[in-house]
Amino acid sequence: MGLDNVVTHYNTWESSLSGLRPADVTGRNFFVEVAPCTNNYMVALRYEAPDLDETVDYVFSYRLRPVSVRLRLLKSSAQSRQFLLVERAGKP
Amino acid sequence: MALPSLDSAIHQEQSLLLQFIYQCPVGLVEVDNQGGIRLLNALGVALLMPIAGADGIHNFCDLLRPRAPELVDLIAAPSPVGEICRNFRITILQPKASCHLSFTVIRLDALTMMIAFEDVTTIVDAERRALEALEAQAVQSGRIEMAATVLHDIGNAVTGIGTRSAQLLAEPAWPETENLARMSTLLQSQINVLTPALGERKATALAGLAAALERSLRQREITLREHMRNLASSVSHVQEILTIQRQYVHQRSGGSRNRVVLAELVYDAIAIHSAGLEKRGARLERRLPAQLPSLLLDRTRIVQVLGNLIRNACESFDTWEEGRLTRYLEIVAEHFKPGWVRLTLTDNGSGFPPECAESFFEAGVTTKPQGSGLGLATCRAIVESHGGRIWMESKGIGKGAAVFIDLPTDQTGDLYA
Repeated sequence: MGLDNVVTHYNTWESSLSGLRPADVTGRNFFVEVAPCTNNYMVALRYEAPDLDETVDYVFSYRLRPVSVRLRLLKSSAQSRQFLLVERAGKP
Repeated sequence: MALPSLDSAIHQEQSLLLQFIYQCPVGLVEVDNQGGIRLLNALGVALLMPIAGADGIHNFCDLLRPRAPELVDLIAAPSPVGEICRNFRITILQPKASCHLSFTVIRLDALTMMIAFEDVTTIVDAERRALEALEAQAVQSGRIEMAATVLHDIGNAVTGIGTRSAQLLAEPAWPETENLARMSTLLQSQINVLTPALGERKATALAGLAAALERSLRQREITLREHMRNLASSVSHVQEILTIQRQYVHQRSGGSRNRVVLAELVYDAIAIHSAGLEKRGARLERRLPAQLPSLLLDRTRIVQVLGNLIRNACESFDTWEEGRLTRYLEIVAEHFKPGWVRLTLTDNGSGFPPECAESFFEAGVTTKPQGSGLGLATCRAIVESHGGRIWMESKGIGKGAAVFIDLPTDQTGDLYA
């Protein structure tokens, strides 16, 4: 994402998990339009800090089903991009 | 065999439907009879994650049992198809601030329930504020009712007192005094007859006693009459206050604005608080010129403001030593520039540090041991609602204080009251 939370890159692996096509996702505000389930102080509001490197256990609802995930939130004041990395957690 | 285009059309529709549910502005969760979550949408995750923490969201009942056991019981209990509960509110205490969630649970079939929920924190706060405002208003209404009743009852009682005190004043001179005077004169004139009967000393004493009695009784009568005059004057003062206050109470605590002569309102406020000024031995000086423009004012409110300021001046005398200087309160009104009338109340009471001048007008600030009256914050609100300004100045502790109120004359600027 850019610093404005607009998606610039969406990789294929995540796309296959979520069922969302990259074309549908890029250019949109991630926290509001793509994954509103992350639009709270635990994830979205963290990106207001200038530097960020946090790991958060979370739940995504891919195709409405709850999926435990581990998120890595990355942001550096030196760069103009911020990242959200998603890893499926072991539990179903 | 279905045509590829139909398949993809259905697939697209499904996608859209999923998106529709996913993006729904209400949290949606589908659970089985044990509370296991089968489906949940984005807002469902966003609202439940802060409660869940590290364990994730897998079973609705496990998640909410510690916070809202009543809701979990409702869900866990066997129920027919249909609504189980609607707008069931729970409070979640979070480290930052508590939030309120409202749940509606519907049983879809024997094995499935749908739970819809949303964050109603702002609604709950607004409801609480509205309730507080309503209660405050009810208290205020109650006070006004009570004031009206009290004024009425006291008014009646005071009328009785007034009548009796008038009766006392109207009593003619005591005939006893006159008779005693006559007796004294008689004894004095008959002193020669009395002397052989009583002896000179006793005769003189008797005549003298009668004269002294007469003088003393006359004096007592004069003193008593004076007390009664003072009493009648106090009663009349009380009646004056009651009349003024009744006017203001019946105006239903203000609202309407009329053209008024500022001097009248100042007089009314002074009349109501004159006892306080007298008690402190404060001298009152007024300069209220007759040719002040009349102003469009809410009488009740402005009299309340003036009364409050006079009372503040009186109380500032209390925190200052007796007999240091003659205490005075000076009230001056002037048409100090076109379109504006300035009222200044100056006292030589305790004063205050100049840098505190503005802080008195903040809501909730009081330096009084028992806060009473309107409060300067309210006074400012009232003056400013008339388009005016109010501020205070003081040269320091012990140097008295002055309150300035600027009020606009209306747009057409009438010149004469």
